[in-house]
Amino acid sequence: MSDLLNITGLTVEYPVGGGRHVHAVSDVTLAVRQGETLGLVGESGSGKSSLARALLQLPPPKAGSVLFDGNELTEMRGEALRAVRPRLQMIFQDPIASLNPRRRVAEIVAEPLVVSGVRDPAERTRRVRAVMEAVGLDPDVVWTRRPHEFSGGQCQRIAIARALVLEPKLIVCDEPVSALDVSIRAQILNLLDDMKARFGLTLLFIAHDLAVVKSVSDRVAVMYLGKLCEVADSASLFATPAHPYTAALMAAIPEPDPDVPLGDTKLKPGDPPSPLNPPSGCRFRTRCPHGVDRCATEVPLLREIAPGREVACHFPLIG
Amino acid sequence: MSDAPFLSVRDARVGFATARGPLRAVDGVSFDLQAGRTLGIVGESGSGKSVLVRSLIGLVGAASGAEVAGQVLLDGRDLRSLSPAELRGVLGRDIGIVFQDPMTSLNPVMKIGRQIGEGLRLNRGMDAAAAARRAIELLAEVGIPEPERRASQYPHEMSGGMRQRVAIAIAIACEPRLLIADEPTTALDVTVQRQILDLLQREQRQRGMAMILITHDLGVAAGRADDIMVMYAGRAVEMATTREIFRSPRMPYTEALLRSLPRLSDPTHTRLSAIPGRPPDLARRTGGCSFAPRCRYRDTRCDEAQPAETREGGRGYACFHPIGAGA
Repeated sequence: MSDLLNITGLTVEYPVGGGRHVHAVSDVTLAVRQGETLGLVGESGSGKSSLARALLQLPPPKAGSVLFDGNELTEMRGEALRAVRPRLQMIFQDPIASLNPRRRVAEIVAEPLVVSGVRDPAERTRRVRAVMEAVGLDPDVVWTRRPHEFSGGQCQRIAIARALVLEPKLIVCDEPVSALDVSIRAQILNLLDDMKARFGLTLLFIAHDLAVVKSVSDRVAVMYLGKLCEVADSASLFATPAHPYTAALMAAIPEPDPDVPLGDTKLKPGDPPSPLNPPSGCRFRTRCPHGVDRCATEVPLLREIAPGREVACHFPLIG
Repeated sequence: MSDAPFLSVRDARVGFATARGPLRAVDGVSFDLQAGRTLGIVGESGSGKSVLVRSLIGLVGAASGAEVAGQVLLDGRDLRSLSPAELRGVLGRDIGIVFQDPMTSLNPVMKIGRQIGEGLRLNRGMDAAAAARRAIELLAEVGIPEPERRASQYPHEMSGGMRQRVAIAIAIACEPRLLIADEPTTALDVTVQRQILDLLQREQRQRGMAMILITHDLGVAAGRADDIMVMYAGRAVEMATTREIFRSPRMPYTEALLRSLPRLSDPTHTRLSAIPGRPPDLARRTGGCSFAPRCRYRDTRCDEAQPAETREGGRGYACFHPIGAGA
């Protein structure tokens, strides 16, 4: 499979005053293959949402390259970037906040068509109706309504319709189900899977819930404090995590089964460090059960330890 | 009587007047909680789980525009008959509360140590110096490093996990016999969530407190609760031991919820069994079972009448078509 998106050396920093910076994403290199779902997992402060925004140039990253479908996005501005946008769409966590409350649903879903220059109203109506039906919205019922008349799950369907209407190649989904009720999540996860098959999509799926990520992802990348810890195919990563942080995350998940004993995260006590002042060397070392001197002095590079498995750790749990 | 429940709730109701008509947020909920046990209350947003528990302790009432009914006995004492001042005393001494967002439950302009000591001075009659000493001990107990230094800090100087530890220290300061934790880890990351749940469970066991753990996360309830009450649309639709809920749910909603969850044990791209539709509009209740429109076992009876609670040994459910029940 060829790569649809190649991120190389991506670095995102935000100034916070006093000459200090949040090191949100630090030198991340990651590829998304044509037709796959890549899950991107991390806790708050891991930089997963900053990474997503930076690859859409919202705002452009401080350093690094984002090669999407043959275009170097970091070198593009204005009109040129707008010309690529139809192929690269995003879905956000809070579906209600991401929809303009004063617009009618038909206008919201049609807006990308207007922006990208589809002038014929009949053509726009035809495409909006088709995409609404694809995501399970009845065009005749929702057409003139406004977002506040819908539940969170229905609003996420509207947001998905809006993202699909231009027939994009890649959709970045930033925590698309974490604001939804449990009984609604499965509907939206199934819908995303259906849409992926039907429209030949590639998905970058960002979430903190490992069970959700496992259910949708072909491959998974794990982030901690702005750095990639581990990248692997989904089955291997969950069967045998190679990075101690991945193992801790998996042990910390509360499983919906009283007969599954609580796992041991083996984490040192204490809180995650601040991305304002990340630890030297390996950023996970302050919580890592294996942290030794070398971890403080030498940054572990992401390296291949088995075919298709990369890990950034001096002492991986396998290999 | 020694086997009388520590907390007994009968036919609790909470209604609000809204522009769209009266809304029954909690509609006739009864349950018992024994000393030393943890009851998980599970439900989605709008199921009434938070409003129910807040109404029991007077945090939702006439002052917030709610109409509250039903009986609440705490250790035999009728909480609904108490004056606001008496109820405040009970809240300070006998009941500790931990909310979802410690940033909103803590006072942003008061030092941590003083916030912990406040209840001790008010309810335990400690002087300021003794309360300050005890606050530092409590900070150490909930796992905060350098407790002396932390006691003189403000909430904004701490991380979310630290703040929730402080909230727990405040809740347990006066040695309550009931701890209410309302989505205590929902705002926290999964590795921090784990630490906070471990802390709550340790304190609950060591002190022999009864605990009510309100959560939307079935995983959290599975690992921490002895018994679980499932709420849907303002009603308790099933109550049983945690094992019974997960192994042999009677109520189709419970079963559907469990089946819809993605599981780590399933291979990637396993099709999820989604629950169709969505929860009902509480201001537009029908005469039937609230879950009927989404239920795979529905028949005409489910649309016509609201199922009463059926008792089966120690468990109960409200359904005309219970799964796997004997008769």
